[in-house]
Amino acid sequence: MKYRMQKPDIRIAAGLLMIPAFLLQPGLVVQGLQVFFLIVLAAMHGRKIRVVMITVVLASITAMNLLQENGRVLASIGSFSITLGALLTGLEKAMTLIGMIYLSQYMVSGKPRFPGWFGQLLSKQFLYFEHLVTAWKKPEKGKFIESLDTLLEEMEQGILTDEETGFSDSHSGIAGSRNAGIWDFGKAAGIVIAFWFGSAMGFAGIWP
Amino acid sequence: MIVLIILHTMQKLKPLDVVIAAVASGLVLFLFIRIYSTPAENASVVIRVNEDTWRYSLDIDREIAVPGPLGETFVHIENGQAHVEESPCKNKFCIAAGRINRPGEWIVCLPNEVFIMIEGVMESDGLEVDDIVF
Amino acid sequence: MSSENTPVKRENGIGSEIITKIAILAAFSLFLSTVEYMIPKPLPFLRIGLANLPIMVGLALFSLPEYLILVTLKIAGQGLINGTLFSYIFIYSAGGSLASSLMMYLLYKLFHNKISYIGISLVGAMTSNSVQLLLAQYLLFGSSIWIIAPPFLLMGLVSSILLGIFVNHFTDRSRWYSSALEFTGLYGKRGRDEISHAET
Repeated sequence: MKYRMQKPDIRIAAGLLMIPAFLLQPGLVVQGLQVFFLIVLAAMHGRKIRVVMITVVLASITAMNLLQENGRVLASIGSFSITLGALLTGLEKAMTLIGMIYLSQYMVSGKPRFPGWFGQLLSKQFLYFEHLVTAWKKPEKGKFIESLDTLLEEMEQGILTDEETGFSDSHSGIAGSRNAGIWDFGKAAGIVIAFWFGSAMGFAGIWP
Repeated sequence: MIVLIILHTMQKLKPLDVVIAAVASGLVLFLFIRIYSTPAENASVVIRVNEDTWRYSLDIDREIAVPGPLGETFVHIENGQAHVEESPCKNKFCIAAGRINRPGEWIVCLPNEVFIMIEGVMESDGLEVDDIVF
Repeated sequence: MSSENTPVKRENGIGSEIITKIAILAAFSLFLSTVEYMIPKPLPFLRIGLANLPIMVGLALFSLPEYLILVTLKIAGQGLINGTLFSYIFIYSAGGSLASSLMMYLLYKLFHNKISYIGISLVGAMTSNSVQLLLAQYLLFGSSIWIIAPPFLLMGLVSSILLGIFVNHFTDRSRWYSSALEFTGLYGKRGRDEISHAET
């Protein structure tokens, strides 16, 4: 049978194409725009925007980098000075991190299945994980290990069989994923092109 | 319940656990003392031209072009020392001044109005106590 | 040292019962990392390391390849669930996990008679914290990261001792664990001795 690209794989491919544009671009303003773009992209694909996380990451990484004084003094409080170079380095590192996190979230938002033996093992792990999340209840006081045991034995003794998880048989029909259509390719291509457009403007020096 | 856990833990404890716990605690304690007792701020190079100030950490090597009225004075930071590499002034006293690295040391280039100084906690600050004891 | 305790040979590689046990422990690790994620922390970089519990439980159950599959599943699963698989947060967590689990395995193999899970957990935590500090220095913070290193390491010290106490307790009391130990039978006699010892 001819290989058809599956929907989740398109997002991974698109993401991989965006990584160099994101990591190589020179200007802080373009980078900021790209980070915004990636956050919106992840949000549109069902990922939560965690404002507190973004703020803490931005603040802590920038603050740590400010300790390495570098460049023109913008302001000083006591013996501590905020220098331009350190501020820019910190912001750049923090934004790179945040951007990569959301790019990565977009990439895995389609719940990609990994091929082969390891991929099947991974989906088996996730089936057990889902069982744990739903079956977990607060254990009685002092009976923590007993209730853990019950859960573990439950999982071991047949909530899932190998046939259910598809671990041992070699069928390739993966539930939940569709073959990609023209529309999916178009959407992904649009995202990649829009993203590279920002970088190109940065490279050309048109946008800072 | 907690008593039982403590008893059980004491029962299970093996010699290497104690050794590892001791070494690890010692290491963390050492880091606490080492990092927080020495002044957190390393010496930095402060460059002033009129109203403008630049600050650089002495720990990282770099070349800085400082704009003055005559042109750019090139300051190099290398191996924890700072010196003027090139200057547009005539007398080149600033280049002749050589390398500075201790807090309080400075180089000045009067024609180009560039003032370079090392700032930080004086080394003697940390030594005073020891000086008295020994 | 323990030449009479040669591992029981298994037929054609890793049996499906073993695979099930690996997947269960890996799923538990994933579950614990989401539990940890819900515990409020001052910095997102601080970790208690709950997700390492199943890794430690697996030390006595699996051979090195099986154990490495467990570790890889943990790392990949976390990357997928937190969505960081393709970001360099992933390098950071993968580096820490891999280094610490290899250290723990080595320690267990060499000294399992002279060490309990407290020592193993401590070494694992210290290894992963140091690797993460080094990676954080190069990737994110620069050398000023060492200012927060002491409390970071102290937290690892305390939490890893607690985790070690728990694993000591769990491996002694759990029915699931003792039957798993008997089944995988990696250490034959030793495994059975420990079980009968725990029952008396």
